[in-house]
Amino acid sequence: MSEILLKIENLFVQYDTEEGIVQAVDDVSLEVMREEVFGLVGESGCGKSTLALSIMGLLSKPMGRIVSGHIYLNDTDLVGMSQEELRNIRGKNISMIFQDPTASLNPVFTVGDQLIEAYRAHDKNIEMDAAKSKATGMLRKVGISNPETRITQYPHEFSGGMKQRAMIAIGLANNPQLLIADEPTTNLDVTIQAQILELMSDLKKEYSSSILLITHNLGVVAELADRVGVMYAGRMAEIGTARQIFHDPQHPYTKGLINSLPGFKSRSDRLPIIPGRVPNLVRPPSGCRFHPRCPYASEQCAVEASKGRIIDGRYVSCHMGIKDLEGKAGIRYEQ
Amino acid sequence: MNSKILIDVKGLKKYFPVEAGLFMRKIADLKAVDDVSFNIMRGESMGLVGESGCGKTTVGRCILRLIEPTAGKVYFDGTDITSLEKEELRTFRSQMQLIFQDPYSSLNPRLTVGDIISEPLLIHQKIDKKDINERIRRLMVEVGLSPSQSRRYPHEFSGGQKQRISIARALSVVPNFIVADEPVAALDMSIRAQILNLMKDLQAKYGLTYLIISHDLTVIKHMCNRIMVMYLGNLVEVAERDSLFKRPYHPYSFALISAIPIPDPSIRKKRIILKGEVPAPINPPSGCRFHPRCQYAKDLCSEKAPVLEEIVKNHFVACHFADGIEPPEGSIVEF
Repeated sequence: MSEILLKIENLFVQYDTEEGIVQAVDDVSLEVMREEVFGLVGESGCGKSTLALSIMGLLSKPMGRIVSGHIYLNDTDLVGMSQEELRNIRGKNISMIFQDPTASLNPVFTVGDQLIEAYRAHDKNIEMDAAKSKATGMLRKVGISNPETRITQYPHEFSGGMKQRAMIAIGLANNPQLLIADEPTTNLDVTIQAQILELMSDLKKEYSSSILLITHNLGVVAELADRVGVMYAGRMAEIGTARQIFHDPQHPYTKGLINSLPGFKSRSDRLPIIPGRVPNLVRPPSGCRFHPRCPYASEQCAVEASKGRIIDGRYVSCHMGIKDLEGKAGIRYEQ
Repeated sequence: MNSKILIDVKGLKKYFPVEAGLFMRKIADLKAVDDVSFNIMRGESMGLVGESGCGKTTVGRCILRLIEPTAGKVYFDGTDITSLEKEELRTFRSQMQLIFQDPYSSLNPRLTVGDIISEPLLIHQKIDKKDINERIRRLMVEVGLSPSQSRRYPHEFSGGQKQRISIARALSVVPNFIVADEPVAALDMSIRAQILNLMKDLQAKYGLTYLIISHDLTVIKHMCNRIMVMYLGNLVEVAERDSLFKRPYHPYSFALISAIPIPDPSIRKKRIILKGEVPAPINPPSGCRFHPRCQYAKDLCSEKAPVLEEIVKNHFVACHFADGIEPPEGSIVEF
């Protein structure tokens, strides 16, 4: 069995909008290893959620479509699969938990019904009683006390943190190989976020699932992820281990983001900022999409985007960053 | 009265009636803010931190008398504004302004940016009509917007720019006190630092006094010199920033600070996981409201509510046993 669980190769995804075609994911490649937490970071509109929906085969149709590229799960390409085939994979091999647990649980069914449905959808022969006891056990595992009563309750009887626990239980029901978690703690309070992060790192040890963790919160990524990909305006800026990304970023966008976080030591009164704003993807900037905001941009950057290279196991898509890694004079970040 | 104190809040309470039944009879009180006292010095940035529903936003609005307090006094520069009549209050209002969390809904979509910024000026009659355009121009430059955009409408601006518009509107009447309620929570990561820098610059330039309300401790830590921690309608700890982050004394503060996700994978701190969730303020726990979730709670805690007491110089905590407890090893790290 190969070490690579999920391999995305040169993926292009477009949306039709009133303003025109948006290239939401533009030539993105990444690999998620078995039993790894891969953190995907970026700001709103950078394409990180679109990437997740593409993997799940859940792009809204007909506006969204995969134009080209491949998504291999265990060497099987998911791109071009029929909905029928995808349905067999979703929930069983891959499952997803969303940012807003309130919107992703069905309000007219009990939490138990929804969890039992997850079992029955992929195992037609399972007895109702067996499914029920599995569901109870799963709720207990995600830290919901008194699960025998809880499975008979409706989502509105659960608090926000409890709903997210229930979503995680549904996501893990069939012991998927890949769990996609899209901003799993964003709507939660700080202390509840801590509970959910703790739960996810415990479950990561217990189950041998890989997790694709999508978030804009760099702190959450630093705590959970083994490797990290940083996306900007539909493209992958860089991929590396968590330590490489946080201690030695090679893309000026990553560096800028980390430096601009408030509240950490060695911060003066003025935070170093990334100037400008996130571009509109209907008319993205020429060349490297970050060049209008990049303090290191050269003329080359405005004309031609870096093709991206893998050097010493890390991917960088920046002319200057690549030179740096090759030992030539590129950006000399002040430490 | 000490003239260093700009805002002095004494025994502030805000109860919201809970109504039910056909005749909407009052069945209970929701004690959003329950006996809160504090002061804010001229020129300082006071932070108010807590989780959703703890009453922090209600405190901010009561101080500005945007909602009427149930009991208590709010002195602004020595004047009790809770007893002011409508007209008198209006003249006071020009000295205090509010910046909202959501710049998308706090700007009137039918007004141009110029009209939005000048509206408070016209209400407070602080300016001749003929000088107004020059004033708008200066304010827009001040907050980093291009004056040529003054005839545009809010929807033509990005989130960060909208927050700049809100700040320009707040500044227009030359206030000396600004309440900023989650000023950057709705903004993209790369934009937050821009707005925080702007707020700091304006404070230095105009000697503004801030009350910054946020659930995000990193924002509060960056912006504020003193911090108040709120839990279920009560202040549980009030301290200078460095003192609070170095050595918190309230068990709830331990948990809040240890829950901050730190964007550095080499720092591994021990998260304190609180039991359960914040109880509903309609039926708060007896005694110390935090006691059902507190690992140090003893019998006394459910019987008697603690009051804020100075434990070390300028560091106040409301906990019966603050003297004898310490944050668990490894839970509070310097960052």
